[in-house]
Amino acid sequence: MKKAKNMGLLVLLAALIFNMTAVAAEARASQYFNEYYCGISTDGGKIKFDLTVSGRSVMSKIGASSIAIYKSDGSYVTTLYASSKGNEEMMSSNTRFHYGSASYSGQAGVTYYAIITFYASNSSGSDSVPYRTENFTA
Amino acid sequence: MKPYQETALGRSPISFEHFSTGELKEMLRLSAESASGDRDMTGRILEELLRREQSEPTVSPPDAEQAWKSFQENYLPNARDITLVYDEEAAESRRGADAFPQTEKGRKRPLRFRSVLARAACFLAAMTGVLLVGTTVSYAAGFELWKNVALWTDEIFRIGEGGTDDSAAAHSVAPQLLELQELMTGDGIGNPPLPGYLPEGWEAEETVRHEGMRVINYHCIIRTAEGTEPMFAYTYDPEGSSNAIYTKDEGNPEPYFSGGITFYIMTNAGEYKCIWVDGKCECLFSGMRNRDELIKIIKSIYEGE
Repeated sequence: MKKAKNMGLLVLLAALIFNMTAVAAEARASQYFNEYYCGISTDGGKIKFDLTVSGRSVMSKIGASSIAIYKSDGSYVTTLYASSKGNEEMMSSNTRFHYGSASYSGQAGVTYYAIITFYASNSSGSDSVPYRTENFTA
Repeated sequence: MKPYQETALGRSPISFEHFSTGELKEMLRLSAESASGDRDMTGRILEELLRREQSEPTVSPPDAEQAWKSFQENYLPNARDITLVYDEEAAESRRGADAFPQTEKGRKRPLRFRSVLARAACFLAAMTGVLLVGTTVSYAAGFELWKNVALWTDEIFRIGEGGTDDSAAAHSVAPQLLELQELMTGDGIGNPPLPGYLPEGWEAEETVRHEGMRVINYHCIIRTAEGTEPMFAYTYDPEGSSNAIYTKDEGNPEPYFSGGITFYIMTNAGEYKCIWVDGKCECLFSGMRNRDELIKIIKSIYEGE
C-alpha cells in the first residue's frame, strides 16, 4: 500500500514537472516585427481600433491584415479586412512603422473582443502574428 | 463557416487552425489573463491544442486522470490511518503502547507543545515548498510572481503593469536624440528617459511622433556606421501600460538594474533589445548587436555617461 501511495505521489510530481516544461512554447523570433499594439476606444456603439506596428526594417507592407470581432461569449461577429474598401488605414506600404485605425459599428452596451492579425512583409517573405484585445463594451 | 477566409493577403483566421501552437498557447495565456475571461474561446483553443496533440503527439505526459484515480484509490482511503512523518503525538502514542505507562501530567503537555511546533514547522516547510515551486513554475511560464510587471513566452514579451512615478532620468541627452527629446517634452513628458551616450558614428535617421486615441508613440531610427538601424521607441500612456507586444527569441529576458529601473534585455532574431518602464512611458531600444554598447547606453540613461 505504501508503494502505491509513493507511486501516486511520484505521478503527481511528474505531472507538476510536466506542467513546468509544457509552458515552453516553440521558439519563433520574428524577422519582421519589433512590436505591435492595438488600443480601442468606443463611443455609443462605434468601435475604433488604433493600430501601432513597428518592423525590424522598412517593410513593403506592414499593419493589420484582419480584425476578427467576437462577442464576449465567443460568438463570431465579423471580420474587417485590410483589403476591403474603407479599411485602407489598416495597412501601410514601404515604411518601418504603421500607425493606423479601423472602425466598426457595434451594438451599444454589448461587450466584444477582437483578434487582430498583424502582418508584415518584405522581399524576403512575410509574417503574421495574432493579438487578442481585452474585452471592451461598445 | 469556413475555418478561414481567403483575402488578398492570404488566409485570415476565423477558427484557430490558422494559428501555430505557440500562438495558441499565447492566446490561451492572454485569454486567461483577461479580466472578464472567456470560457468559450479558452475552450476552443484547448480543443484545438488537444486535437493537435492527439494527431501529432510531441510528448507523453502522465495521465492526470489515472494519477488522480490512483491517488483516490490508493492514498486517500489509507490517509486516515497514516500519521504525519513528524506527528510526535501519534508516534509517542505508538511507542507508549509498548513502553511503561506515564502519568498524564508528565506526558501530555510537553508533547502537545512539541506537536504544535512540529505541525507548524511542517506547515511552514510545505508553504515554502509550494511558494518555491510556484515561483519556479511562474518563472518558467514567463511571469514574475514577486514583481508583477512583465510577462513573456518564448516568442513575445510585454509589460504587465505600467509605472506611475515620474522619470528618474536626469542628465544631458545625446545630441542625436535632441529632436526626440523636444517632441516628448512638448507633450508634457518632463524628463524623457533618453540616453546621454550613443556610440560614435550614430546618426538619427528618422524621428516620428504619432498621437493615437490614448497613447502617443515616438520612434527614432538611428543609422550606424556599420549600416545597422537600431531604434528607440517610446509609448506614452497616461493610463498606464500600453499592452504592446514585443517579439523576442526563446529564453527568459535578462533583468538588468540601473538607476532603480529594471531593464529587460532579450534578443530578437539575434539582435539585442531592451524594454523598460519609466513613469508612464513604456520604452524600447532594439536592433543592437553589441551587448557591451547596449549596457553602456542603458547606464547613460539614469547614471550619466
